[in-house]
Amino acid sequence: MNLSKTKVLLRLLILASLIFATNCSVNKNSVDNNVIIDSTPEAEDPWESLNRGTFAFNQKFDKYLLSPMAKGYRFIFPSEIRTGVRNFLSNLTEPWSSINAALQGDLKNTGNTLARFLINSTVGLLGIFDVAKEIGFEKQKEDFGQTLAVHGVGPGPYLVLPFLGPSTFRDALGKVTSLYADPVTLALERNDKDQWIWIGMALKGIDFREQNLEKIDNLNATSVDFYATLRSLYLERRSSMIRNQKIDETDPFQEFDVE
Amino acid sequence: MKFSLKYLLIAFFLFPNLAFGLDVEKAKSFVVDIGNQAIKILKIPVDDKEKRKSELQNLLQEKFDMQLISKVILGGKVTKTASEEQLKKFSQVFELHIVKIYSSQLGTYKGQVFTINNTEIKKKDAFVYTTIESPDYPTTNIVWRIREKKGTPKVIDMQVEGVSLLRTKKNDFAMILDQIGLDGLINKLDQMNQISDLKIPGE
Repeated sequence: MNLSKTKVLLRLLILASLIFATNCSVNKNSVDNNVIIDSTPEAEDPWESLNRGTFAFNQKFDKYLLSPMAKGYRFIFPSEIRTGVRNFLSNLTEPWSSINAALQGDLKNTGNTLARFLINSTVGLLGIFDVAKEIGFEKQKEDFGQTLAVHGVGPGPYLVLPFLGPSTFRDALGKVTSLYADPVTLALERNDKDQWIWIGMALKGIDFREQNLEKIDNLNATSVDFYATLRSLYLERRSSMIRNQKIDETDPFQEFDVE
Repeated sequence: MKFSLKYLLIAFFLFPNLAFGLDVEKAKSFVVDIGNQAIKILKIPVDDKEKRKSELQNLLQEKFDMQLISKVILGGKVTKTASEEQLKKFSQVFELHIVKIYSSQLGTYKGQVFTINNTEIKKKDAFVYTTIESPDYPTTNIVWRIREKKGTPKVIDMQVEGVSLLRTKKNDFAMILDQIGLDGLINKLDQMNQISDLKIPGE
């Protein structure tokens, strides 16, 4: 047990050092009077040709495996069951969201995510029903990439991850960190149920694709350069999540000057 | 005379937005109109794709400053060197392109409620913050950027869940503009506008 803890600590230290060794510049003024100034939309794409290669691979993976599976999932299971599965998986992300909200100094959302987890795990029958939302506890997902951003770590280069899609160097580190620090993941590992981590990830991917079957296909059909469109969408959406959508406190167009 | 001019100047410096005639109430009621028009489009049966498209095109022509949006998307470098004819052709194909995108993304009416939360004036633009709530979908936040053109408010950008239409299309077109220029982009959009109608979410 001690050996595995040391391994985890060592991995986290390596990750932390990687953050500072890469282009993820740290902007100490990023949190100013509770207004988060975020530079994610300006992330550069120095590895574009490699990213485009991975993107092409992901497109094939989507065409021949993910999209057919999402269609099958929609065909076999009624929407009530799909919503239940989505809520169950989403509920398992609440403890990690809560930890990240606390690390970001967002006490309100720390309480909100904890309350959601407690209410939905009990009254919501292990999270199958989102009872918390009905009584006013709206979901606000937080992850380690967002935590790093709130503390001033820049996005670093844009990255397309195999199977997982658009990301940035910072957000990819956030994803890896969650594998070693998310309490639900750690509990599954400790009980030798590692396979459920991957099954959960696969289910989440299929569910996301099912929810967005037409939207993603239409976006592809109406994009001149689908790679660039997805990059733009990802970076702006991420920035909005980092700022917790407090758009009325900052310029939503982030200095995008209309001529 | 001098007296009133002095007060007029003071008023101008104190309330610079008044000089453009775009105030919070005007911007709000303008966006309410758009919301009502959009809900009407959602209520058109999905089978009547032609009507959905023509209503959407009317909305764009009436409420959006497509000329300015087109110019910003192409960028100063391209617009300065392009001919009037090229810009006109681009505006036409781009408008149809936007109709194609939104007629396929708008979805169907499932009790969506359009609410205006807040409006603020920054420099010469009004920013109207709205939400669309529905029992079947997650809440969607939309920010409308409004600017007055010849005394009439017009949308110059909209940001859906933090994603700006202007920035997305600018990025989408950047590589093709760089590689094969404006005529290449016009041809590409023209071809894309010919593809058959896309499946509407919820259809």
